[in-house]
Amino acid sequence: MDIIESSIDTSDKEFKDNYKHYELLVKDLKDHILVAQKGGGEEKIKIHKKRNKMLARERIEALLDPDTPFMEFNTLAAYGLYDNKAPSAGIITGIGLVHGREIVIVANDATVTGGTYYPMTVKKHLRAQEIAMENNLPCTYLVDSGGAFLPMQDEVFPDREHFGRIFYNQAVMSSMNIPQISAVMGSCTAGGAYVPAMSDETIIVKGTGTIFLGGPPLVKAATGEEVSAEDLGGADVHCKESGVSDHYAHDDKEAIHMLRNIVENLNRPEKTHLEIKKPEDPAYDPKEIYGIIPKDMRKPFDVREIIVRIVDGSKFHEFKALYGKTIVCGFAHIMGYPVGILANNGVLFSESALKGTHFIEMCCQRKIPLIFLQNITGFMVGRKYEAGGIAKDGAKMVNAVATANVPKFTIIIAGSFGAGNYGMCGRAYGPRQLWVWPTARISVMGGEQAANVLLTVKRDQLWRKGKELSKDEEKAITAPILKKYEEEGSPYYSTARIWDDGIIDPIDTRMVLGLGISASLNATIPDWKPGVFRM
Amino acid sequence: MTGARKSKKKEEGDLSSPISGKVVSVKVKNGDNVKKDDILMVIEAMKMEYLIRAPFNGKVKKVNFKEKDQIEIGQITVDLMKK
Repeated sequence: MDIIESSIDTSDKEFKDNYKHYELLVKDLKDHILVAQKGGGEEKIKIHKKRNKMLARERIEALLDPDTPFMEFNTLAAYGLYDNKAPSAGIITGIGLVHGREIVIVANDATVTGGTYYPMTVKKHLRAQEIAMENNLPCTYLVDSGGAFLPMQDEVFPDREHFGRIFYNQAVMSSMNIPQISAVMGSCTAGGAYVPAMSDETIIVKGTGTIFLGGPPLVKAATGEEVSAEDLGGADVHCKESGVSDHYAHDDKEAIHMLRNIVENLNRPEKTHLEIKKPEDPAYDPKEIYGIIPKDMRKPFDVREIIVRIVDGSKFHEFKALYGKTIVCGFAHIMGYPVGILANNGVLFSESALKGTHFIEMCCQRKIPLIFLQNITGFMVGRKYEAGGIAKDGAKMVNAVATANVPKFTIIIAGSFGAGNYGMCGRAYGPRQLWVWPTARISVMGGEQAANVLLTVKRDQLWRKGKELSKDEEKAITAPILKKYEEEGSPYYSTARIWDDGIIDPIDTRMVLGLGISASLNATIPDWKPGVFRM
Repeated sequence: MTGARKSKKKEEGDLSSPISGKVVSVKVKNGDNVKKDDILMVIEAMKMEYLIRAPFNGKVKKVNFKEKDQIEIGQITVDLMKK
């Protein structure tokens, strides 16, 4: 394969300006993550530790094989929501290695409102289960939760994607031979009690772990019976009398050791085989990406300059380089794994959509994972393009993206607007993982365009009544829309609502993709069965 | 690995608009001398700015569009004489 030579001048003023700007963005991201990782804060952490309990992140670290990475999802979930009272949405999820096997970990953080479930907590738990299901990864639950956050019960309890789905997923995954394992390391009340009860194998910690459908206060209210939490649902009751739990641990450390032993004996199937090469660092420093992405989003840049800083050895075998040039397609390796990359280099035209579709077909046939690098302002609009069938050509690409069943990974590197988000495998198209860079902007259209559309509609309404808008009135209409789009287009707004799996520093992209592809190979890649393409 | 290829910044020698859009800025006037890579015109479409740069050192014979003009894909932005 050929090395693509970069034409970036790192001594250029614009490069240096962009670089400095991006460094600030990354620093800001890391600050946000540090705050979120503190969970409920010093005071709550002190109380938690006094109970002889390990913190959620400490439990995860102890569970994983030493010196192996933990790929954490949605660290900034619920950011800016619920008065910022639920850092990381009170739950930590991710993929890690235990006895050399990739597993999904879901750990409640009891320092955040007692580990209770806010709407985003439920969404994050369900997303982790979805990742487990799609990639065929065993699930371990480190349970320490008071169940639903009662003041918001209408947003967490009854609907299809609410609390009940957690247990539904456990049953379905168990039936698919995706092991479900719980360690009860704190309270596990009401609905939460079903997490261990629905697990294949369960551990409980003496003294701190409790499982019951109704806690002592509810029992007293319902029947008048007075009983302590330990007597009602502690380790002795559940390991010796009820059989709700299988293993009896004396502290968190022992529980985690038992959990490791359980995973060691799961007898998991071999991973899917791909033709793997020896991993190789890119020939260009990935950190130079900071200087390549323009501060001003309207300025175009050559996405090949990004590709050469992500792929092994900066080697890229480009497909149809001279046709439909606003999308760059080609083959490369990332951390040794073969990948097919689709990356935007401008607005999508019919030819670009057809080229993308052709490329996806090849990757599905050859069973090569797909990487989408999104920087897309949309499909081209205008009479000429509508008449040329841009809608049906765009539909072909959306069709191929939707049905492609090789593992798909999406990175939103800058703009993600309109149908472009769909054609480039946005969240709705089921990428195994979707990560965003701090420079991402995500919305149905640009703020200016949305404001102008609404302004035109209003102007036409008034025109029919013989009235006109003054400049001030126009501003009064457009200003709030611009502000709304600015705020909602931010990657922090996206990640808070779990429209993605997290915001990452561009230099971590290689590692994140490598881990993601490795995890995806736990599942088989079926043959491709496309739908009907409108020709 | 068989060789090296440059990632092209842009097409050489092309003064036509790459897209249908609006002219947001004209940087030169008739008779101006320009150097290779000087920005001649900025066109905005689909939320992006497209820069028209001089493909060679030359003299502006005629600027074909003014600010706020609508321009179609393929239309020649500036007539440039090679020096």
